[in-house]
Amino acid sequence: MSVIPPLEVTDLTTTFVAGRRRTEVVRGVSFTIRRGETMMLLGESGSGKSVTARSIMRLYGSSADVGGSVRLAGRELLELPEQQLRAIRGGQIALVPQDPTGALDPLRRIGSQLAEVLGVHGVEGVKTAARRRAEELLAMVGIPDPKRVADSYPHELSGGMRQRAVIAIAVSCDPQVLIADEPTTALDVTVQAQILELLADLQQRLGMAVLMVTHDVGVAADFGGRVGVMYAGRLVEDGPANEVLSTPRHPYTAGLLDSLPTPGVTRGSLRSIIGSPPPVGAFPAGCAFAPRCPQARPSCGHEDPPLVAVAEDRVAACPVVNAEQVVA
Amino acid sequence: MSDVLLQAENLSKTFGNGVRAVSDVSLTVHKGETLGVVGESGCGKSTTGKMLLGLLAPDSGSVTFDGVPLAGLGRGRLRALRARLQVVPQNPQTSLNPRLRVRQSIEFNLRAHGMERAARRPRILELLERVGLTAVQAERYPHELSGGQLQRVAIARALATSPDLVVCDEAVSALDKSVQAQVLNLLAGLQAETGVAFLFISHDLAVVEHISDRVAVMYLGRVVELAPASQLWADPRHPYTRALLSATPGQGRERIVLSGDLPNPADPPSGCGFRTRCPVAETACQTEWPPLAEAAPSHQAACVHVSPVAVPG
Repeated sequence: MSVIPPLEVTDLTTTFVAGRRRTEVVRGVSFTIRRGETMMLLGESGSGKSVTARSIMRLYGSSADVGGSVRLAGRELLELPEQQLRAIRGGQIALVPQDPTGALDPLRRIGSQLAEVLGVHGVEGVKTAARRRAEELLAMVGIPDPKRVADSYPHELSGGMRQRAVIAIAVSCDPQVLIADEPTTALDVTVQAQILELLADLQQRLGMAVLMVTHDVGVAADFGGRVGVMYAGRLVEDGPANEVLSTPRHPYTAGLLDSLPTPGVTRGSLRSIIGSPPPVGAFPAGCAFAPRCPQARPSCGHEDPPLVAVAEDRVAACPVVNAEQVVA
Repeated sequence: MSDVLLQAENLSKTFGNGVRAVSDVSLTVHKGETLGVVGESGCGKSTTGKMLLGLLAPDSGSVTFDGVPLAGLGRGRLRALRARLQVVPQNPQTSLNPRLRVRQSIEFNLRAHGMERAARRPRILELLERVGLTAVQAERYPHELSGGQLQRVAIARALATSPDLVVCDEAVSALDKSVQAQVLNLLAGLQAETGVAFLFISHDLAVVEHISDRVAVMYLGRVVELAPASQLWADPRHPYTRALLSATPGQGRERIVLSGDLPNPADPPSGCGFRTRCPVAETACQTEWPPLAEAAPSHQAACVHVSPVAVPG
């Protein structure tokens, strides 16, 4: 019996359109997330990780051409009319954005913002019931005094509390897929630890498929699941997080890991990657990493390598490492 | 000790809105060393940096740079001193004038400190080369350069006057990791070459630990622990430092998740400011914020649970 996965993304491309100018940002990204699974998209600025996540929910409207296929529990999202999408967003598929302050309406109390989502998706139409449910949800995301928080305006809460409230809104309609776009980047590390713990706990309890976007290798390693490493709009490596981040196969993944200070080892030189990530709109031809790659061959400048299996359940897009393992 | 470059004693600063940003902070930077200052938002690390630079006057306490107290210095003398005390701010996009070419931004600093016109150009090229940029990039405007390149420009500008101390306030925080590593290597290399001292302020413990000789951990306006970087890592004594280390992702330590948020600095808890989130707080913690005490040789922590114990090894 084959089970339909909650989220199946195939050959996703996103091209921003401004007048005649077309800027390719995501260039053929594919992955599948099963129920209760996590997929981390890891990359630096301009790698297309957030745009991938947001394209899945079709949040760019007419400002971007989104191609390929996005199946939410078997249903193609890229062909749905906007009206039906609106019913799905916040319902079956929900987003936790990076900045909770921007995600909340500053002029309305938290409780009323939660109740609105419940009402829109027909979960709870009756006002008093919605209010009760809102408080339950706030308690579920670890807010110690849900009554007070429900009556608070966003500015009265700390950053961590606001992010909890946003998570409560996101999970309020029991989504199958939760997309978390750098959910802890705006928070301090001790608060970040709380929020990551909360997300892992909710995922367990609610059995959601989670797509998390992060630039932080440590977050990806701690959260576990699968990790997809993005560079210049493509997935360059994909596999179980503990394997990819301990024995990277793609030279970019290896270089990124080498760039991080080693815990407990002070001073000494870091092995950095030369140059900087290419800006959006100026991705090099061939393998986009080739200009920075210590192992590049002449052919890398014009041949864009496909993802191929390098080990069980692992793929990488590099012809060099397919022959031999990267010396990390 | 004679190699003390900068000494801050009992600095305190309360802002007009009642926020007690810094309380009773004492720090020493020795010649040629890197002192890291780490803490979360609102812990007072940047305010401390500003007071050390003489950009902000403390309510009480004193800052002495190479034996000269900053307080009471006239504008002219403070200006002259600034040639030896420079800063690399967090965001080069906003700290560099968008209308000036890279060369002009650096020249501005040289001119302000009285360098002859003829000497400036070769000095600028030398500085740019030292931070890994070329003469071509000297003629560029900030918007034509990447974040990593801009931060190199900011570093070149700070080094222009051959300072003894550079305060780096979140200087690599806005950069991608692969670029951050380059800039950290650059800073370490420059220090080896020129003997400049760094005060390195950051929220990123892994980065601070990597680049610093000694690290001061701040919480709610106070230094709660001060130790050599390797020792802080191997044997943190303050419960906040332990939690901070464990919360830094990807370390493989058992995570200590602190409950709650940082207290409001305008309305701090009585006694030890960390007690509201501390896993080992007791009643005694409600009365007084414990002073920094010797926890091991050259290792201080401000916690009643810290008893002086010899460090093994």
